[in-house]
Formats: sequence, C-alpha cells, structure tokens
Amino acid sequence: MSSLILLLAFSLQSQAMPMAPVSHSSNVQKTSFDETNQRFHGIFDITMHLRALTKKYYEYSDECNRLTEKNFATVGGVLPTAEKAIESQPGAFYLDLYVYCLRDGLSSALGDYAMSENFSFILGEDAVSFAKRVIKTINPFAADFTIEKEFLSTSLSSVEEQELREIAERSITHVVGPREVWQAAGLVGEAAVIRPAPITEEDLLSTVIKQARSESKNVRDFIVNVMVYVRVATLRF
Amino acid sequence: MIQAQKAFIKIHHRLLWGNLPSPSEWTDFFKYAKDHDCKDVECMIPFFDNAVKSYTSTDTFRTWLTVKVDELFYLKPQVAPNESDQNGGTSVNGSPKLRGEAFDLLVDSIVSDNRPWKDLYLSQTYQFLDPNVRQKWGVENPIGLSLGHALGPANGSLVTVSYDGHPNVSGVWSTNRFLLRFWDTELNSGRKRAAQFFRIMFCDDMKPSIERKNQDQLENLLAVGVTQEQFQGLHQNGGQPINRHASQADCRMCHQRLDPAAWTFRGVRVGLASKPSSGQLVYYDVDGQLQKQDVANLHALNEAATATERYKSCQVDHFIQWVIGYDALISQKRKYEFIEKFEALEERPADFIRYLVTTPEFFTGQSAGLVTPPSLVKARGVFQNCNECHSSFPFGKNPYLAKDTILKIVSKLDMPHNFKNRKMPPATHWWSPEQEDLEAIRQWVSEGAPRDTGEPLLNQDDVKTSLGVAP
Repeated sequence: MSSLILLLAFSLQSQAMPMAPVSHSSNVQKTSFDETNQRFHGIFDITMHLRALTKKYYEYSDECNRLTEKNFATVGGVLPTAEKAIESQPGAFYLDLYVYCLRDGLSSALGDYAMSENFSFILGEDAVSFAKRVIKTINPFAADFTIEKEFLSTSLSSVEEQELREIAERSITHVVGPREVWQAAGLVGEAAVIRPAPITEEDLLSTVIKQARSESKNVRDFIVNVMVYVRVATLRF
Repeated sequence: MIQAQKAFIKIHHRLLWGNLPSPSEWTDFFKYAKDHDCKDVECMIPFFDNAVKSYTSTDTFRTWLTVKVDELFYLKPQVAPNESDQNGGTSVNGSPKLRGEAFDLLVDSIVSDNRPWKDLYLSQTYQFLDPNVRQKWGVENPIGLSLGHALGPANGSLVTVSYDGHPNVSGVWSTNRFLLRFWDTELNSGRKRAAQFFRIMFCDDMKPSIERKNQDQLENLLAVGVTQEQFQGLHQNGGQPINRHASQADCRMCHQRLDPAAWTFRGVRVGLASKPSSGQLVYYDVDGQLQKQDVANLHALNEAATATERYKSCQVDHFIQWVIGYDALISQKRKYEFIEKFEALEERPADFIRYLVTTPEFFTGQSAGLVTPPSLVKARGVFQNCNECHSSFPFGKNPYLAKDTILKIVSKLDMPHNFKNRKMPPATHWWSPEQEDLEAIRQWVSEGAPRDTGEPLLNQDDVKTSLGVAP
C-alpha cells in the first residue's frame, strides 16, 4: 500500500506540473518551488490535516510535528535555530514522510490513548452500533464496553466482505465526503486520479479494499490505510 | 452539480489547509442545493459566500493566512513554542495568538481583525508583551534589533504601543523578524531589505543573473569589480571595497530603483534611529514608465508605495495566487475589476478572499474565453531552463517590462541572424538548447510573443525585426 500510495502521489505531482524542462543535469528540479509549496507546507501540512481528521492523537513522533535534524532536509526547511527561511524546494522524499506521519497520527488516533474521542468521529455517529453488529457475529459474548477496542483489533480475515465495504465507505466518507461527491473529488470516473480509473463508487471500494487489505492485519490498520490512500489521492486540488 | 461539488472542495482545500468538507458540511451543501433547486455552480454562490464567511473566523483559516504571509516574507512559518518545549523549537501547537514577535502580532491582528492590508506595511502601532513579562523573558527594545523571543503565555499580557509619527517605523519593515532575516551589511547597505520591499510591494523581483553555484562569491566580486585574488587582498589589508557593481550598465536597471529605496532603510540599520533617512521611490508604473518620487523617510516610502497602482496590482496578485492558484490565468480586464474590488473593500483580506472564491475564475482557474497559445506552452518549456539564473522568463517578473524582456531575449539569442552568434545561455552553462528548442521560441515570437491571454506583446514591425525581415 505504501509504495502504491507513493506512486499515486508522484503521479499526481507530475499531472499538475507545468511542462517539464529538457534537462541535462540532475541539479534541476522538475517541480517549481511555488507549485510544490502551494500544496505541501511541510510539517504544518501534516499537523493541520491530522487536526481535521481526528479529535485527538498522540504526537509521539517528533519528526512529524517539528523540524528536526532528521527530517529537515526531507521537508525542505532549515533547522529552527538557524532562523533561515524555507527557500529550498521540498525534498524529493517529502511525500514519504507525509504518508508515514499521516499513518502514524491516524493509528494513534484509533489507539487506546484516543480511541473514545475518535471512534464515532471517524466512522460515523452510528459507528458503535455498527461495530456491535460486526463483533457480535464473530464473538456473541463480547462485552459492550469493549466493543470499540475489539472491533478495531479484529483480524481482517474474520470480517465479512460486505462489512469490509461498509468500513471502507465510512472511512472514505470521513476523509472526502459521501459517495455522491467521490467523482467531484477525483476518485471515481474516467478522469479519476487513480489508475486504472474506478468507474463507479463500487469500483472504488473494490480498488481501495484490495490495496488496503494487502497491508493490514486488523480493522484499525485497514481504516488507517484507506484514509491515507484517499487523502493522498485528493491532495491535487 | 459536479462543478459545484468541486468548487466546495476547492474552497476547503485553499482556505482550510487542504482539508475537505466534513460529512455534516456536505449535508448542508446538499440540503441547500435541494431547497434552491440548484443545477449549476452559480446557484450555489450564496451558499459558498456564507460558508466562507464562517470559515474566515476559524483558527485554521487564520493560521493558513498567517503562514502565507510568513512565506511571502521568506520567513519560516512560526508558531510560539509549546509550553513543554524549552529550547525554542517550533512545534505546531497553540493558536497563532501565541506567536510573540511584533511581526507575528501585527500579522495576526490584521488577519484576525480583518484590517486593511496596507496596515502590514504602514502600521505604527504594535502589540508587545506586558513589561513585567518582557523583563522576565529578556525582550528589550521590542521592535528594534532585540533578540528576545516571547516565550510564555500571552493571554491578557499584551500591551499596545504607538509609534505614531516615527520616521523609521512602518509596519513589518521595522520589526525584528524582518530585519534579522534580511540582514544589513556595509556592502549591501540596505539593498537586501529594499529588494524585498520591491518584491513584496510591487512584485518586482530583482535577481542578479548569476549562476547559483558560488553566487555569494560572485556577487561579492561583482560588487567590488575585482578578481578573487584582489578581493582577498583588499580584506587582508583592511581595505574597504568600493562598490562598482551598481554603476555597471546592466546592473543599473535594478539599482536605479533599488538604491534610492535602500537609503530610507538606513533608519533601521542599527536599532531604530530617531532621525529620518530620505530617499526616493523609483519604480515602473502600469504603463511601463519610470516614476520617481522623493520620500522623507521609511514610512513615507511606504505611504507613497501603497498609493500606486503597481502596489494594488501586486497585492491582488498575491491573493490570486493564494486563493485561485499560481497557475491562474486572469485577463487584463478582469484583473482591473479585481483591483477595483480590492480598493472598494478597503483592502480587507477576509472580505477580498470571500469575493475571490465566488468568481468564475475560482471555479475554472481562468477568465472566460482564455486559451494559452500552444506556441507559448512549447516556448515556456524551453524557457524554464533559463529560469535557473533569470526571473520568470519569458515575461520576467515585471509584467510592465515584458516586451523589453522579450526583445532582449531575441537579441541575446541573435534570432534575426538565425541564432548564429547566440550569447545565451553562456557557453560554460551546463544546459544548451537544441535546435528544436530555438525553433519553438522563434515560432512563439513569430506569432507576436502572445501572453497566456492570447494578447500579443510584439507588433508586426517588432516581429519582422526579430525574425531578420525588413519591416
């Protein structure tokens, strides 16, 4: 999933780029600073997106919420203590960091630390009753007060296909909106940013499920991977 | 209605940090569309207008706009340190109101209170931490060259100080963050700061055409007009370098504007001088004519600048880039309408942004009827190789000198003589155009060197001369 997300993201960059110059040197970046910087603010981007997608998450990854010696070359900035501007172009691996940090933040948002704040916020107002329905068919004796935790830690192999589709749809709805807007968001239709283009909403769900399933062990991973996938896909605006 | 949905997504993407509408916002969207039987994006404009009005009072929007201003000034976007961060790191926590420098608080005030945009450059009133807190954290001489940071909570501890009538106090130009970012030396003597003034106020980006490698070194050599050995010798012997660069013909193009403005920045060279430093505002107006106006001090420089059409056009360009996009294509007629609106709204940023997101240009990215000529698309691809040293070829950063820029390009490429004695790019440069690259440029020139709007910049006589044909 992560490599596919990166392929998707770099494809987005090249689609929106101005005509690339003919270059005989690897020194010339093919993306203008302004054009890239308009879409990627760097560390701020990551944090502001996570703030919108979650009610609470634990920022234990230092490189994801501040410029550090480890990430500044990637992000394209200069260390805070140097007091210089971000004049250089965002590094070539910025999207790598972005995907890593988004996944990291969303995982923590659905982790024990912040689960109660985020469960219904992310999966919908009726998420708890939906989760009960799913869990009770797997484990009829599951306690109500641990439903959210049980649901998120359930192995994907235990979840039925139709339920998986519903989980994926709820995740996409949280990031992008209801399925009526998926075409406008560039996720569905012949002009979709994803290739091969999912023509219908059901096609999108199938595509996303197939990709997310391959890199997820449990429902939590699956939800996170779906959200990251569509978030990256909709960065192009 | 797909276009209306895309427009709603774009509003969020541009103004709310790339985050898309929430499910409840989509519910409101569809309800409005159903209640008003909307079939197209125009019908949804009142909905968008109302939505944006509420968005402009959110912290996310304010953070977005303050970061845009930071980036405009080539400053690292700054939020005050987290309480747990004792080392001055810039973790992204806390609202913009916790930013503590005079620059930050001025920008925050303009964004939060929707003050006229020109206050950014003209304001002589600043907020600072309460004196007791200032003393504790070592912030002295608040808007001069103090190195203090406003650590600690700012709630309820801000004081407002007025410097009305001070000759060297003018908006962000007199603040710590700007002055430290663009430092002053005996060599640049205020020109570095003046260059930012022109870039930000007039979108007049004066870059020396020097290859980036060893730029600092080459700039110094140009400045003193000596070889590298002589330059080192001068410093070893304690000699003072003489600035000859500014008098060289090609360099006069910028320095005739840069230097007179730089004189007014002498008043902020070391702290805030109480005495004024006079200068001139020299600039190309919207008709491409050079204008000169004497100014008594730094504040007067800004008062003169903010009264010009160039200033208004440039500030509108900033907003167009931030809201509509860097690749927006706006016709000249619509640009004038935008400028009129900017003035009518008293340059208030939130109001102007609200206006911009309801224009057709926001929905489509360009003014109606515009199509970028294919020859320009091809030529531009070639010119991108030139922009490593030059600025925004082929039109240059100064839109009012675009024709001059193009004719200079034609001359340097020796186009009238079929590129025979081409001088650009330099023979030592890593990139050299292929024949098809040169033909792409020639084709574009033969069509009158049209802009993205289709408007040709060269008349028929210019075209014939450029192609080596008798007019």
